[in-house]
Amino acid sequence: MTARRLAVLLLLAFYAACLVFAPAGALPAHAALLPPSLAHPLGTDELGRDMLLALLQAGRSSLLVAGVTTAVALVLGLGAGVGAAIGPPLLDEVLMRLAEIVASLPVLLLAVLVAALFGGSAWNLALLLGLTRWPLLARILRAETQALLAREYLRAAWALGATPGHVALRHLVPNLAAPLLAGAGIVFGGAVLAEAALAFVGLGDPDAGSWGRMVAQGFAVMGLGWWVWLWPAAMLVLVSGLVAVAAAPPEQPASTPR
Amino acid sequence: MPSRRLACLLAATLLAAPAAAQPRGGTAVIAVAGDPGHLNPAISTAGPLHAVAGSLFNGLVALDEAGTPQPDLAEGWIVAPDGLAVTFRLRPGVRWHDGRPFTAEDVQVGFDRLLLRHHARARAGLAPAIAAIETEGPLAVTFRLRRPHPALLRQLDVSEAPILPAHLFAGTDPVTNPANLRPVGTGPFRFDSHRRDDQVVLLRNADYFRPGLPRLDRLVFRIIPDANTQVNALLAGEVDMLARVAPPDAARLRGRGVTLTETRSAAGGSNCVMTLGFNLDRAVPGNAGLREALARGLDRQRMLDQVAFGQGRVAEAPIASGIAWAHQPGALATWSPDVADANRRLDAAELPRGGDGLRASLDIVHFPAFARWSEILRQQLAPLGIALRARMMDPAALAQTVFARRDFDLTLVSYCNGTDPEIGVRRMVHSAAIGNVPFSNAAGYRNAEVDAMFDRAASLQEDAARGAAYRAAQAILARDLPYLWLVETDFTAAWRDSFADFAPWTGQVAERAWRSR
Repeated sequence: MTARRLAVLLLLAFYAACLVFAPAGALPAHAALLPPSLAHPLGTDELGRDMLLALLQAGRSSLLVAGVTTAVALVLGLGAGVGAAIGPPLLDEVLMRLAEIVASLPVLLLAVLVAALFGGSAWNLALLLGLTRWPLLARILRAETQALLAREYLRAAWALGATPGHVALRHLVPNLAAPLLAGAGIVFGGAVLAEAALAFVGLGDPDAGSWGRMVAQGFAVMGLGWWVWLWPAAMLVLVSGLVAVAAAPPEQPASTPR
Repeated sequence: MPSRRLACLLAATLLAAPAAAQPRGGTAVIAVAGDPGHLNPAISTAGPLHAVAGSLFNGLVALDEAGTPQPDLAEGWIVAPDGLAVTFRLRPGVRWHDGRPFTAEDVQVGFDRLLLRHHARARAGLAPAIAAIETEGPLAVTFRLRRPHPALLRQLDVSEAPILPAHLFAGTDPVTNPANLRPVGTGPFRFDSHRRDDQVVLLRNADYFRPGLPRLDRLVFRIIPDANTQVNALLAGEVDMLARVAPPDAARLRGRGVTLTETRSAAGGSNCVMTLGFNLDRAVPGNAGLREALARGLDRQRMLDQVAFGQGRVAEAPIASGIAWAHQPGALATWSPDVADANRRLDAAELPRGGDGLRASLDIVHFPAFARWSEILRQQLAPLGIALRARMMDPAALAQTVFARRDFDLTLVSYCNGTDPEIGVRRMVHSAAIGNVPFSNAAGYRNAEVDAMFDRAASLQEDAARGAAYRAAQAILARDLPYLWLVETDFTAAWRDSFADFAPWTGQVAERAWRSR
């Protein structure tokens, strides 16, 4: 089994656990700041919440934010990237300049604005991240599409009278799957970290769990229990690492002719 | 003369103890959370500014640890029998840091041109009560009042009403006055230098009017915004004193060469009570049954232990226990925690559980700094079938949302009662205080009886008679529950064991401090 498959399996297993085992609503109170034990394998925090359940709850909202972000960015990035590559030069110009403008927006400041205007809910945050992360995907897909369009079999398809829709669906999308997956992995991992960073500075959804907020709260009681900040911090490292491994382009056999 | 009652308080305690026993000299480094900007405490109530400026200036009175007025720039004072005039006798021989003598004109100009116009708390709390300020010779000044204002003396210390030099401010625009950046005061320390976002240095005022004080040669206020960094700097010896330490940090500092002092007051606030306010204009929080159920359903002892880390007390009454003469012990005793009773009250209040077990979903508006309080409320309200949606916002946005637009169900506010209910309690319960003034009557509570009792207490002079009126009002408040008074939160200051006698309850924190080695 390759490292990539292992990473995918671990991620799937972890997120499945989050969806199945994380309770909805406020976690019940036990004794505060209990170190890890049999009853509470990861200990309890300063309000007596079980750290394991809190981690799973936060994992679920992290998955929600990163998943929605990635979906939004994929749709926009695919449309803009492929559209720019096969559309008229003017459309290419407009879409790519738009992508540059969006990519230069300060997400942190926008998140403050969105939280002030519409409330800092997880959905708003996911939409904001999705609407600002698609340029990365659009650029990758535009370059890949342009390279594909120069291939001879596609020139042959055009010559045989294929419609743009046929070319896009039958030839481009299947060949774009690998860069698409890699790009989606980058967006997903970035969204996990972005959500945590925003929650760490207090801009996340206060009603949803968040590893970033758990780290921030753990810092406030750092001297009283290492387990309060260590687990959520470790989760962030682990998940973004696994996502990076899972989304890496498949290794090619050394003999593949170039 | 039994028909004429004179209240006369004279200089007593502060000058009494000779200062010879403690060593002199040395530097103390004090951390402040932000750059003060300028150093004119009469035109701003910003925390970092007052943390520094409190050592440069004096008030007419000083407040001791219990909040009792003591002589400072005023040697003594006489309250007229009708309560409508207070005459202060000023301390002779006091000199400003530039050598000019301090006189009654400084007091008059300071109030008329600076404090009553530009200092937010003086403008809100003093200006409506003061009709005129008149000098009577160079060393006496009389405050003429529109109505008796028994809290006056407690609003005249260096944080609430610092006195600035008239010879530098008369006839100028105080906001652009260069003396804001090179302040001249009467205080125990004089200004030396200010490097923006780095530090402010003050030096010993050798001509200070209290002989032998201050004992330290130098005060350095180092600007360290992050609380964790402040604590680490204290442990590493880079900083000697933190005027305010968060509860979990205090727990971490215990037993590590640091003296921890808990007080009910700090510069700019005293007798603070973490309070849950209900928007009585809305149906669900306006439902008395819901408020009673919350009073029974919340475990406030647990909030004290887990959120305040034991620093403070469970609130026993609507007026904080630090104002002992007005506090009604046990006023909230009927509301002991009982989740089953809380659920019964919610059923009776026609707030049945829906299919998902929820009775109501309420929003709660608060500062981001109170996140842990709203987390524990969320945790404790879940078994009652009440879900919370937190809306965290900064002070300006919260003032708009809660007090101007009244767009909230619940709000968490730390209401500092001050040293007199007139200062910090009237504003949260009197019907005249409903409206667009930040941190006034958030609940929108109207009760003619309570209004009348507060008005009566304000018109009396003696603490005993006033206290009786306040206690009667508290019985009504504890029944009506426009607020839920959760926990009286204390302030904690920390300094290295090599120092002693800091006074964290006042703005003048280092007047008596000394260094042993």
